[in-house]
Amino acid sequence: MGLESRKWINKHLSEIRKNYPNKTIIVCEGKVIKTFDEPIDPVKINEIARELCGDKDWSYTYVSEHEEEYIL
Amino acid sequence: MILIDIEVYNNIKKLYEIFEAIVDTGATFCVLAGHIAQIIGYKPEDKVHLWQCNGPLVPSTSTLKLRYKKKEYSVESVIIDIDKNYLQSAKADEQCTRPVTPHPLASRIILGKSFLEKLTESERKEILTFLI
Repeated sequence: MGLESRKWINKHLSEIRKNYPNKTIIVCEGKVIKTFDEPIDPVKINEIARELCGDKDWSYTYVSEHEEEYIL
Repeated sequence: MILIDIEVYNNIKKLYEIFEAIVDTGATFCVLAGHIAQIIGYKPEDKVHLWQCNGPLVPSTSTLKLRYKKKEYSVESVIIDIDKNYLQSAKADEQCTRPVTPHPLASRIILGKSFLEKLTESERKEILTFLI
Protein backbone atom coordinates (compact mmCIF):
# COMPACT_ATOMS: atom_id res chain seq x y z
CA MET A 1 0.00 0.00 0.00
CA GLY A 2 1.17 3.56 -0.73
CA LEU A 3 2.08 4.61 2.80
CA GLU A 4 5.20 6.53 1.78
CA SER A 5 3.48 8.17 -1.19
CA ARG A 6 0.57 9.21 1.05
CA LYS A 7 3.02 10.74 3.54
CA TRP A 8 4.63 12.61 0.62
CA ILE A 9 1.22 13.91 -0.52
CA ASN A 10 0.28 15.10 2.97
CA LYS A 11 3.68 16.77 3.43
CA HIS A 12 3.61 18.60 0.07
CA LEU A 13 -0.11 19.37 -0.10
CA SER A 14 0.16 23.17 -0.28
CA GLU A 15 2.74 22.94 -3.09
CA ILE A 16 0.61 20.31 -4.89
CA ARG A 17 -2.47 22.58 -4.62
CA LYS A 18 -0.55 25.37 -6.38
CA ASN A 19 0.78 23.15 -9.17
CA TYR A 20 -2.16 20.79 -9.80
CA PRO A 21 -5.37 22.61 -8.84
CA ASN A 22 -8.54 20.57 -9.34
CA LYS A 23 -6.72 17.60 -10.81
CA THR A 24 -6.37 13.99 -9.76
CA ILE A 25 -2.71 13.04 -9.45
CA ILE A 26 -0.91 9.71 -9.15
CA VAL A 27 2.25 9.87 -7.02
CA CYS A 28 4.92 7.20 -7.25
CA GLU A 29 8.04 7.22 -5.05
CA GLY A 30 7.89 10.97 -4.35
CA LYS A 31 7.06 12.14 -7.88
CA VAL A 32 3.82 13.11 -9.61
CA ILE A 33 3.76 10.73 -12.56
CA LYS A 34 0.27 11.27 -14.02
CA THR A 35 -2.47 13.89 -13.81
CA PHE A 36 -6.14 13.89 -14.83
CA ASP A 37 -8.72 16.63 -14.95
CA GLU A 38 -11.45 16.13 -12.34
CA PRO A 39 -11.97 13.13 -9.98
CA ILE A 40 -11.56 9.67 -11.52
CA ASP A 41 -13.16 6.38 -10.52
CA PRO A 42 -10.65 4.78 -8.08
CA VAL A 43 -10.77 1.42 -9.86
CA LYS A 44 -9.58 3.09 -13.09
CA ILE A 45 -6.84 4.88 -11.14
CA ASN A 46 -5.70 1.52 -9.72
CA GLU A 47 -5.56 0.01 -13.22
CA ILE A 48 -3.43 2.89 -14.54
CA ALA A 49 -1.20 3.07 -11.46
CA ARG A 50 -0.52 -0.69 -11.48
CA GLU A 51 0.53 -0.36 -15.12
CA LEU A 52 2.78 2.67 -14.49
CA CYS A 53 4.21 1.81 -11.06
CA GLY A 54 4.16 -2.01 -10.88
CA ASP A 55 5.11 -3.00 -7.35
CA LYS A 56 6.47 0.43 -6.40
CA ASP A 57 4.85 2.48 -3.63
CA TRP A 58 2.12 4.74 -5.11
CA SER A 59 -0.92 6.72 -4.09
CA TYR A 60 -3.43 9.15 -5.58
CA THR A 61 -5.33 12.20 -4.51
CA TYR A 62 -7.89 14.61 -5.88
CA VAL A 63 -6.35 18.05 -5.36
CA SER A 64 -9.19 20.46 -4.81
CA GLU A 65 -8.28 24.12 -4.35
CA HIS A 66 -11.19 24.93 -2.08
CA GLU A 67 -12.95 21.67 -1.21
CA GLU A 68 -12.52 21.86 2.55
CA GLU A 69 -14.42 25.14 2.65
CA TYR A 70 -17.49 23.38 1.33
CA ILE A 71 -17.77 20.38 3.64
CA LEU A 72 -20.19 20.71 6.53
CA MET B 1 -9.43 17.03 6.48
CA ILE B 2 -7.53 13.81 7.17
CA LEU B 3 -6.83 11.76 4.05
CA ILE B 4 -5.28 8.29 4.24
CA ASP B 5 -4.93 5.27 1.97
CA ILE B 6 -6.99 2.16 2.59
CA GLU B 7 -7.26 -1.05 0.59
CA VAL B 8 -10.80 -2.00 -0.42
CA TYR B 9 -11.52 -5.52 -1.70
CA ASN B 10 -12.91 -5.54 -5.22
CA ASN B 11 -15.42 -8.43 -5.29
CA ILE B 12 -15.49 -8.40 -9.10
CA LYS B 13 -11.74 -8.48 -9.80
CA LYS B 14 -10.97 -10.47 -6.61
CA LEU B 15 -8.17 -8.17 -5.48
CA TYR B 16 -7.55 -5.24 -3.14
CA GLU B 17 -7.56 -1.74 -4.65
CA ILE B 18 -6.04 1.38 -3.06
CA PHE B 19 -8.66 4.04 -2.22
CA GLU B 20 -8.17 7.55 -0.91
CA ALA B 21 -10.26 7.84 2.27
CA ILE B 22 -11.55 10.74 4.34
CA VAL B 23 -11.23 9.95 8.06
CA ASP B 24 -14.41 11.18 9.76
CA THR B 25 -14.42 10.69 13.53
CA GLY B 26 -17.99 12.03 13.64
CA ALA B 27 -19.39 9.44 11.23
CA THR B 28 -20.87 6.29 12.74
CA PHE B 29 -20.38 4.20 9.60
CA CYS B 30 -17.99 4.01 6.66
CA VAL B 31 -19.53 5.39 3.48
CA LEU B 32 -19.21 4.23 -0.12
CA ALA B 33 -20.77 5.96 -3.12
CA GLY B 34 -23.32 3.89 -5.04
CA HIS B 35 -21.49 4.18 -8.38
CA ILE B 36 -18.30 2.77 -6.79
CA ALA B 37 -20.18 0.06 -4.85
CA GLN B 38 -21.57 -1.19 -8.14
CA ILE B 39 -18.15 -1.27 -9.87
CA ILE B 40 -16.51 -3.25 -7.05
CA GLY B 41 -19.44 -5.56 -6.38
CA TYR B 42 -20.95 -4.51 -3.03
CA LYS B 43 -24.70 -5.14 -2.96
CA PRO B 44 -27.14 -3.52 -0.50
CA GLU B 45 -27.80 -5.89 2.42
CA ASP B 46 -30.23 -3.95 4.61
CA LYS B 47 -31.41 -0.42 5.43
CA VAL B 48 -30.49 1.76 8.40
CA HIS B 49 -32.28 4.83 9.79
CA LEU B 50 -29.93 7.74 10.56
CA TRP B 51 -30.16 11.43 11.42
CA GLN B 52 -28.19 13.89 9.34
CA CYS B 53 -28.14 17.67 9.84
CA ASN B 54 -31.41 18.52 8.15
CA GLY B 55 -33.43 15.35 8.55
CA PRO B 56 -33.49 11.57 8.39
CA LEU B 57 -31.47 9.50 5.94
CA VAL B 58 -32.25 5.85 5.15
CA PRO B 59 -29.30 4.40 3.22
CA SER B 60 -28.54 0.80 2.32
CA THR B 61 -25.95 -1.05 4.36
CA SER B 62 -23.20 -3.34 3.14
CA THR B 63 -20.18 -5.02 4.73
CA LEU B 64 -16.95 -3.67 3.25
CA LYS B 65 -13.84 -5.80 3.23
CA LEU B 66 -10.93 -3.47 4.04
CA ARG B 67 -7.19 -3.95 4.57
CA TYR B 68 -5.04 -1.49 6.49
CA LYS B 69 -1.38 -2.11 7.24
CA LYS B 70 -1.72 -5.75 6.15
CA LYS B 71 -4.63 -6.47 8.53
CA GLU B 72 -8.07 -7.34 7.11
CA TYR B 73 -11.33 -5.94 8.49
CA SER B 74 -15.02 -6.56 7.76
CA VAL B 75 -16.65 -3.20 8.32
CA GLU B 76 -20.27 -2.13 8.54
CA SER B 77 -20.82 0.57 5.91
CA VAL B 78 -23.56 2.49 4.14
CA ILE B 79 -24.01 3.08 0.42
CA ILE B 80 -25.06 6.57 -0.65
CA ASP B 81 -26.30 7.37 -4.13
CA ILE B 82 -24.78 10.55 -5.54
CA ASP B 83 -26.36 12.52 -8.41
CA LYS B 84 -24.19 11.90 -11.49
CA ASN B 85 -23.88 15.67 -12.10
CA TYR B 86 -22.19 16.11 -8.72
CA LEU B 87 -19.25 13.86 -9.63
CA GLN B 88 -17.63 16.75 -11.58
CA SER B 89 -17.00 20.43 -10.84
CA ALA B 90 -19.93 22.77 -11.44
CA LYS B 91 -20.04 24.12 -14.99
CA ALA B 92 -20.09 27.88 -15.66
CA ASP B 93 -23.63 27.74 -17.04
CA GLU B 94 -24.96 25.44 -14.28
CA GLN B 95 -27.68 26.81 -12.02
CA CYS B 96 -26.08 27.55 -8.65
CA THR B 97 -27.55 24.91 -6.32
CA ARG B 98 -24.41 23.27 -4.91
CA PRO B 99 -20.72 23.91 -4.13
CA VAL B 100 -18.54 24.29 -7.24
CA THR B 101 -16.27 21.44 -6.15
CA PRO B 102 -17.14 17.81 -7.03
CA HIS B 103 -18.76 15.62 -4.37
CA PRO B 104 -16.03 14.54 -1.87
CA LEU B 105 -16.95 10.88 -2.43
CA ALA B 106 -16.61 11.03 -6.22
CA SER B 107 -13.29 9.19 -5.93
CA ARG B 108 -13.00 8.42 -2.22
CA ILE B 109 -14.67 6.63 0.68
CA ILE B 110 -15.35 7.82 4.24
CA LEU B 111 -13.83 5.88 7.12
CA GLY B 112 -16.09 6.32 10.12
CA LYS B 113 -16.17 4.87 13.61
CA SER B 114 -17.23 1.40 12.40
CA PHE B 115 -13.64 1.13 11.06
CA LEU B 116 -11.70 3.39 13.46
CA GLU B 117 -12.94 1.47 16.52
CA LYS B 118 -11.36 -1.71 15.16
CA LEU B 119 -7.87 -0.16 15.13
CA THR B 120 -5.43 -0.12 18.03
CA GLU B 121 -5.06 3.10 20.01
CA SER B 122 -1.61 3.72 18.50
CA GLU B 123 -2.96 3.22 14.96
CA ARG B 124 -5.73 5.75 15.67
CA LYS B 125 -3.24 8.22 17.13
CA GLU B 126 -1.00 7.85 14.10
CA ILE B 127 -3.91 8.63 11.75
CA LEU B 128 -4.88 11.71 13.78
CA THR B 129 -1.36 13.13 13.46
CA PHE B 130 -2.14 13.69 9.76
CA LEU B 131 -4.42 16.52 10.91
CA ILE B 132 -1.43 18.52 12.21
